[in-house]
Amino acid sequence: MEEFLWAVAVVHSRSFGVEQTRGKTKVLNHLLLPLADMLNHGGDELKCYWTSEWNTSGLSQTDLQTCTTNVEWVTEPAAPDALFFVSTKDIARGTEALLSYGDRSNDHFALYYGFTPKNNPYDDVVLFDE
Amino acid sequence: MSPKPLTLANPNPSLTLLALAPRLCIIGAEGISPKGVDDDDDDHTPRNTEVFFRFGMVHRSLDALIEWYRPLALAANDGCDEAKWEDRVRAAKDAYASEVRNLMLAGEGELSAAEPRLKMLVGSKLDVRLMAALPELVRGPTDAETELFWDVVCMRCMELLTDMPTTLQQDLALLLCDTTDGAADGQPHWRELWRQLDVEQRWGGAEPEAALRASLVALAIQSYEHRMLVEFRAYKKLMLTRALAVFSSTSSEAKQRLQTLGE
Repeated sequence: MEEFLWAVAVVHSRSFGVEQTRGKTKVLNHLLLPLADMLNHGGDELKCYWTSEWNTSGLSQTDLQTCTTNVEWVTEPAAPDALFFVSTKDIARGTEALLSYGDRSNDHFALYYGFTPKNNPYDDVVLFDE
Repeated sequence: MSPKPLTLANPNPSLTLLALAPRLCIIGAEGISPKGVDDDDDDHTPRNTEVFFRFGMVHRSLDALIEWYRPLALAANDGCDEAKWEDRVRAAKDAYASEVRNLMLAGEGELSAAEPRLKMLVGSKLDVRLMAALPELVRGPTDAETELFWDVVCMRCMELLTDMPTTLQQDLALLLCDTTDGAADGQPHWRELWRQLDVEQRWGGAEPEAALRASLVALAIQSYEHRMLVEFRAYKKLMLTRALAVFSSTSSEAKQRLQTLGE
């Protein structure tokens, strides 16, 4: 049981979901990619979680600081079984490569990745649940 | 000759599905309806059935909202008796369903159906379905209606905050006094938040160590997993606390009514 839980945790926290087309059918494959799965999360962050500029219309782009992501993964039709990791900006030597795990709430990050991003602009709080 | 299908109309405001015959059907003829045509769905798996099921879930979240506000509305002594309350509920359900329909037309139907819970996003942005339904339940005197609406939202935020076992200040104190491996990396971030909240929330220049009273020592963070959960909880409290600051009304009449509702 312990090994099963470990395996499930590995798949959930480290796999890449890649949509592929087989004939007329699209399938979502979960790929485990050693080394690539070591890339940490980077993404949009609020400049400041507590800012007086917020109002009931929500956040504006100016409330976000520059995205910390500097790598993204892409697929190429010519190489359907390959996943490419490409830089999205100049990366200085010694800078950590960061990949976005998605624009998700902290609930999703905590459940599937085991951490909560700092100042996540996509977090939410449930006011009424069934 | 292949049979022509029945047409499934989009949900009407009362969330009732209508199956419309596109032609005259003779008695005894089978009613046939497509179950969704999708590129990746050669077998016509009844994908729509799943979506319709989710509507039921969405509706239960609305029911939770209605159940929560019902005793407050009836206790408000503003002339809302049981009969008028039922009128309000019907109007709220209609407004909610109308908003769901708008989301479907905007191509966001599946997204909203997949998330039945009524949420507030960062930036104090409320779920549009909640924004549609709640005003129908909260019908105060005309002038105070808007203020009352926001006060009721504040009341819910306050309720959720007080239901939590610790305060935001205590959680930040726990994070700032955390000595487990890796804790120091995040502490400048929490220190800055503490400084901002000290001003905004008038904590009086308190120090985290002092705020971590003896009763909280037992809650001291013990591990990475423990720290993650405290961080997770702190962010939810930040959102609720921020919303309270944003939504707080200055209307004295609405304030008085809110006090009445809360008593």
